[in-house]
Amino acid sequence: MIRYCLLTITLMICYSVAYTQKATWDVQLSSRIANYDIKVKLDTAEKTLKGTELLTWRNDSPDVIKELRFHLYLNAYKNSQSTFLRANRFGRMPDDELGWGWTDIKKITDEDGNDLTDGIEFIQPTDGNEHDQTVIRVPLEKPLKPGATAEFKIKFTSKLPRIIARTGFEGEHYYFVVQWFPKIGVYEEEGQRGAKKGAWNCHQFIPTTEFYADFGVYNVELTVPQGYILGASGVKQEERKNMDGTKTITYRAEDVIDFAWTASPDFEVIEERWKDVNIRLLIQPEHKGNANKYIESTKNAFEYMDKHVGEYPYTTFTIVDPPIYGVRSSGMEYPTLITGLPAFTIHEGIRQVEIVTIHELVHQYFMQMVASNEQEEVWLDEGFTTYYENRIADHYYGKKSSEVSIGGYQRGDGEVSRLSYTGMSNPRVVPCATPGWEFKVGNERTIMYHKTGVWMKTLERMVGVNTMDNIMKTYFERWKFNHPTGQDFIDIANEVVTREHGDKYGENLNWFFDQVVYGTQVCDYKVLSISNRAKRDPIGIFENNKGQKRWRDRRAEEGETEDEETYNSRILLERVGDMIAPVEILVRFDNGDEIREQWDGKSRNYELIYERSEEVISVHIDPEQKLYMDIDLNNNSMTTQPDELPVWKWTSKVLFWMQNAFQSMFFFF
Amino acid sequence: MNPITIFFRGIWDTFRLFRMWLLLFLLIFLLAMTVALPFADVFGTSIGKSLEINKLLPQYDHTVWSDFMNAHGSSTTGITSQVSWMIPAFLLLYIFLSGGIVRSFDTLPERFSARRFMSACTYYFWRFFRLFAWLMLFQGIFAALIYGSAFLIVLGGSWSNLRSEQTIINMGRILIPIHLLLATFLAMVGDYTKVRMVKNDTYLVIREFGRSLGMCLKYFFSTYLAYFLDILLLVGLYALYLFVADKVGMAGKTAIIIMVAIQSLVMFFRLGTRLFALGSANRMYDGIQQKENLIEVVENTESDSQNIIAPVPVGTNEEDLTEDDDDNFDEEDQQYNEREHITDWSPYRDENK
Repeated sequence: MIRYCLLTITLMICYSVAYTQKATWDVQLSSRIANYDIKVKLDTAEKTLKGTELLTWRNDSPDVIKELRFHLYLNAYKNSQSTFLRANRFGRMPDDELGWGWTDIKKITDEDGNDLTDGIEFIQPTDGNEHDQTVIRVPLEKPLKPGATAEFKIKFTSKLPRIIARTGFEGEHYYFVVQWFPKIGVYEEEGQRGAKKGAWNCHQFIPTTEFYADFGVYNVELTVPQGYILGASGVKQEERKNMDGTKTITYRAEDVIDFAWTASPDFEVIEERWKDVNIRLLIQPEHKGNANKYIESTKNAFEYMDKHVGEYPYTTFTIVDPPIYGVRSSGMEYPTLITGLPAFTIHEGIRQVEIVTIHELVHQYFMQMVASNEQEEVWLDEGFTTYYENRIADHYYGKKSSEVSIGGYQRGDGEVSRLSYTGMSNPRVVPCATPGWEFKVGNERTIMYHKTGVWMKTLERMVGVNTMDNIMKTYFERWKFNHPTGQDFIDIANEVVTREHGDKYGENLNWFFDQVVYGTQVCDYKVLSISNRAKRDPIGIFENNKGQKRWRDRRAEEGETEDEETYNSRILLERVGDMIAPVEILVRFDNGDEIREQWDGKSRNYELIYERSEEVISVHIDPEQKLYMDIDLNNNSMTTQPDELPVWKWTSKVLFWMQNAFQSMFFFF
Repeated sequence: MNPITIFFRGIWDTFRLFRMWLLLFLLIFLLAMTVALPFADVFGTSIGKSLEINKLLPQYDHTVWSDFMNAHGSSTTGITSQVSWMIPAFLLLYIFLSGGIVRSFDTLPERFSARRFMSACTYYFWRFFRLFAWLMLFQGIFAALIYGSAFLIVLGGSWSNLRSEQTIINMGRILIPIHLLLATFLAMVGDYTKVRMVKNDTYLVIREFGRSLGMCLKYFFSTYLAYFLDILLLVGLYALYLFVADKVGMAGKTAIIIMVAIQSLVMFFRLGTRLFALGSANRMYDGIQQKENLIEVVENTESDSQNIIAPVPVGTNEEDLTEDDDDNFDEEDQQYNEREHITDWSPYRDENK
């Protein structure tokens, strides 16, 4: 009996250990090219991280590698001459030396002990700015053969900046530590992502974009003061207290492209589960009123993405709620860790916290798992994420109320995205397929985020939501833990649409992508006019069969026509924008009849003429609003029998508001 | 001098000046129409024939509205620029009209006279304008002192010291009520200053403001309670409106007509609350002056060792006033209104009348 008891207890312990430490490393999900073992200690006085990094890197290309390239992201905050800070997007820089950041590589050695430090050279492959020190090249003593794996030991110090964008410290003890260690670039072999020859893809740190890295396993040992609460990418392995008042926590993150962490003694920890995922919310005490917003939106987003895109394979997901003074670290995405929107408890009807959480969570799919090159193709990352953010928010919180719904005023997240694009003063500023370093005007990101979101919604409405889901599921399954390009997505879209709809949309959808991804065309179709004229027999002088002239006047005609009147109805449509897309036209007659017409949308003007005993009462181009990216949906329809009530309703509102505005002057006297 | 009674008398006096009330309402209504009608024109001609506009009938539709603004925003710039100058212009107009309003209360129970109203508007405009300027200055100073000192004390004069929005929320919870109390008190003092300037026909704005301030502080409970009741009424009016608007909606012809009528009533009574406040101030000032003169007479007669019979029992401070006192005052006041200037001690002796 005792034996059975011991066996049962042993089995239970084994099971519970297996369950609590369930991790993804049972199955290798990615190619694990770049693997890191990092040990660092946070110096809270000097705001530095001192430590070592053991990089295990595999040459997955057929080329012999003679040099390595690394990102030293924190050097973007080293001085005002960096490419990052030259963009002048981040306001006033810190007044004190403590506020600036940098990374120093003290020593780098290969596995044979060769010191490679002296060969380190700053390079500027993206813009040639010689003052920028965010990328280094490290010539190797011993070139790496194809398929070979090598280890490099790096001793480094990273000085954290005040948080002006994403990373650093703020206040006395809030740390958000991202892009903080020497990180190897991606070596692309010939043909990979369209590379003409094998080369390093290791762009400088530019302000508008961040991510492109190979997948790997991160074992990170963090030493911090004992009072600090930590959150990090991956799964916590162990925690031990040290004699010097510090503690060391070890994390392991597998099949990820980056490792981020945060530390603060102020966090309150709230834990929840969604399926096998442990959701950990690190929230500021003053923001606890928003905890439910974070948790609920996280679960909603997981549920939706799981059903419509694919599985989230990791077992942890950490949400960091920054303090108000750390607001510039908010709304960021890192593998299995995101930052939310710092806000004092917000009204339930204002859903910014939910929307930011959803957005950053979706990045776990488009950025982290489907690891496209954000610096070169921002739209694949931010645009796809915006599309799903809109879908998820609209699904759970209502299409017309998902962003704000308060006191009769409401707006949906999807419609706000559309209006962000359609309301641009220069919607033709750049094509979606513009690399991040070419952003000059400042609102290019609206194109990347919102135009992409809107054309994806347009594509969804054109081909149907099921086909769209199949496109995205195929894209995700085929390219997860890999580095796709925009063309890879387009190829999949063409493949799925052709398979499911044949040639309904032409040979392929390139006509669409050429305009919305690679072009700057703007879509705008308009109903110009509707006219209904009673049909009259011709009047004037006519010859009869005998060649005699007869004058036929209107009175004679009216006397003759006792039958039902016939109308010549003429509808004139216009393509105002330069984007061409086939559209459907719905024509309604006064007896309730409806006719649906097709227009290839190519000509500038299009005319429809009907000769019927009914008058045309309305015309609607694209009545289902499939062309969601049409910049003016109001001019897509026209009726000859307008309802004046909406005009009078809003006029009476204006009248009321104006009287209120006038009477508000009473406050002043 | 019960503030509640005074408040209701203010309302009663406003109803006695119904013509003035109605004319002022119509003036504001017509000014608002000069904005609303062009808006209807732009709205109707731009998207009035679109099928999309029907989405705006049951509720606000962000897409329809924003597409309208994106495509036809330039057509509305004329309206928005008109609004941008009309609102400050109305403030000037209101300052102008205030002289007539206060004077109309002062000359009750005489019937409202448009000629007298207009003449008082002109007569008091510049001194009221100066009073407005001073009031704005005082309000600004108060606001700067309240928020500025809190900013210095709590945040050390730098936003970078802000550690949590909780600080702002807590500051707001404490400072906004204080500011509202002070701002409404200052506005009330302004109202009493207007009353004083009309009754005494004085030009010295600051002096009258100072005296009004002294009076309001001395009779804080009475004056502020009457004013507070007026604010409460205004808040209640809007709460009622929001409740009714939510029930009625504006999704059909009948509902729109009902709501326009309700909105007009709300605007009429909102204007009414402003007039109630001035009417109450007028009444309160008379009561206070009457009371203070009585005290003065009694003190003088006592010092002269003369035996006279006071017309009413006199309290030596505000708390001594009872409901009976107030009733006596009511009768006296009524008599005064009927007889005008018949007692030697009356504060209403006004050479300008």
